[in-house]
Amino acid sequence: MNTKPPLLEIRGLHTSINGKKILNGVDLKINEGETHAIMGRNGSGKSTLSKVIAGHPAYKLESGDICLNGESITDLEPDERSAKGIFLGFQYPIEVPGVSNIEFLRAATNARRSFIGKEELDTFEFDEFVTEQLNLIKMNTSFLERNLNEGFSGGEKKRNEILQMALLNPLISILDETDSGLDIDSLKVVSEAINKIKSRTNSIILITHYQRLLDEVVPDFVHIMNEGKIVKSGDKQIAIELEKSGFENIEMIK
Amino acid sequence: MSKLLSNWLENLPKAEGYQKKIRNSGYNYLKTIGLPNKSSEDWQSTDIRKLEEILSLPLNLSFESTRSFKMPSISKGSYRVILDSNIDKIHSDDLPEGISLLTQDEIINFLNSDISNQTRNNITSAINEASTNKIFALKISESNSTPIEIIIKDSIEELTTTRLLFIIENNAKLDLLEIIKSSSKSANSHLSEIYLSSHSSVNHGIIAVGSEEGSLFSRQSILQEPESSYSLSYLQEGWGISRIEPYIVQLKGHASTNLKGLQVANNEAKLSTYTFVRFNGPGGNLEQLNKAIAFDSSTSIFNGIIEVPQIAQQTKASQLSKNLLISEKAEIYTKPELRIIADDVKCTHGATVSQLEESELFYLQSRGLSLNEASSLIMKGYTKEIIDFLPVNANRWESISKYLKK
Repeated sequence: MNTKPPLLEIRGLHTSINGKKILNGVDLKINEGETHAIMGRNGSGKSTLSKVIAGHPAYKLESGDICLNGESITDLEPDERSAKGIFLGFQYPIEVPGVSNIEFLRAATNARRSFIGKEELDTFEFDEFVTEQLNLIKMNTSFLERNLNEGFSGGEKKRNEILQMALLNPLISILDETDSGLDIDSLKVVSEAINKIKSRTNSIILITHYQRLLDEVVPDFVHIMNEGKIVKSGDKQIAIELEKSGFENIEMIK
Repeated sequence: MSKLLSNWLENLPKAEGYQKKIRNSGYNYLKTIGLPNKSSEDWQSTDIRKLEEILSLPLNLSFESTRSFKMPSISKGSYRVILDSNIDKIHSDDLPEGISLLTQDEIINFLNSDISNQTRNNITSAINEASTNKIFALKISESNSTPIEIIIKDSIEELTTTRLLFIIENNAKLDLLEIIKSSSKSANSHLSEIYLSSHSSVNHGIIAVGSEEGSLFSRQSILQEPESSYSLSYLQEGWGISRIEPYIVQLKGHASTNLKGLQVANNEAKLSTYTFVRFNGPGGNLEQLNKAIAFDSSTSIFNGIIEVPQIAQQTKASQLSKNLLISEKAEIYTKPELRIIADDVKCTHGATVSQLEESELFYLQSRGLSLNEASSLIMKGYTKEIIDFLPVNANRWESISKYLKK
């Protein structure tokens, strides 16, 4: 009998911010190699769920648990969760003035490498490594010399998130509306990059409003969130139905 | 006049001939006006007792530093001067092309001119003028292409006073970096006067890093003719008490001024920047950004006066003071002060005091950086906007390179 725990397991998760309840009992299991999509109306709790998994300090855990490979991570700081292999691709990547992109990327990469017992990369080794990965998102090296997300277009910010995902080699990547603000060409580049990073040992959660991303990165499971919990789960067909009928008719979707 | 000040003035080394002429204005100012008190607007946030303590220290008459500190190698192609007794041995022939010493007559003529007098009459320069026997004075001409680095050291339990005068001729350019460093219980009074002729430009940097027991009172008196361009970037860090006072006059307007300051206040330091920019004619331009980070129980003060009189129509001036308050015990005081009489001008100002952005910290932490690493990376980025502008390869100096280290 296979006793291996799910890669990520969320049980009865209730959270609040400033006294306001946002998540009302989320349950979710994700195994190695799976791709899950989470859809739902604005304000249904999708982004909150992603931030809570990544350890955002503003959210209070009321009850429930989040386990990575069977171990609870709810007491861990965001950096410790990242080191263990959780990656959050931000819906709105943060601009950090004056911090060079490459300096940040190297610090982040080395933090993860050091946790998984790999040697840290010096400036030259990292230059080589990151240049290879840049091909994934079809950007040139000038992208690295700029300040972190400062003055980046929406598409550049999202590509930078995917570059980070590639560099950090996470076990589970939560991509929060990575497709929003992308033109068709950028969506294609980003989707292809995600598909290349996908493997049998890592898993992906795609948070999205639209079917078009799911045409490119095909999910094994689709979940619908409403009022802070998952109200429906199934395969890709749900997303197709949703695109046709909208959230109004969610109950009719089988 | 306080007894302390009258004793100090009485015990100053005798000034003869040339010295008398360069020291008179400061001496007379102190004799007439005396030391500031709590009602003096510019000194309300400064502990006057510190000023008195400084005046109780003996003067470093030998002009020697009792301390040596590690200096990085000279930036390629630049000229370094250490302001100690050896400056007497410098002759114009030793200087790079386009740089020459001002004669005593030239110095006296300039210091007694109406133009030069526009930046006088204040306590910081008066203390310096009254007590400094030597001025390191240079003329920079159009043929100059050599950056200059000036080193100012301290002397234990003494007051070291140093003074510079630079005349920048028409069309001349100069990159100038001043390093003011103290490593002991000591005090420095430093005055830099720069006159920019038409179509000249100066890119001026100051790195003022002192020990917790060090005191610094420094003033930059800058006079700009039309079509000149002056940029000043400065870093203040350490010190027990420190004042940097850039005082800029655009003599007939139509000049460009850019000020970028950073103060990093640690422990119980009281760091302050008092800037004054006056447009004495139309069409002048000013861009100013002052940043501060206050840690521990430190105090950081910024006071920025911009004067735009009736004659200074079509002035464009922007001033921004951005401050990071890291500790609950630290204090930040920031006061933009725009005195605008002219009506056809564009002047903006703003001031913010904030803590580190939670969203930035979370973003970096979510990529594996610890809270400390994330904070220090954000702060390093915050400082970069200023220190990137320091001229003469300033990152050779450890005080700067630590902000830039990858």
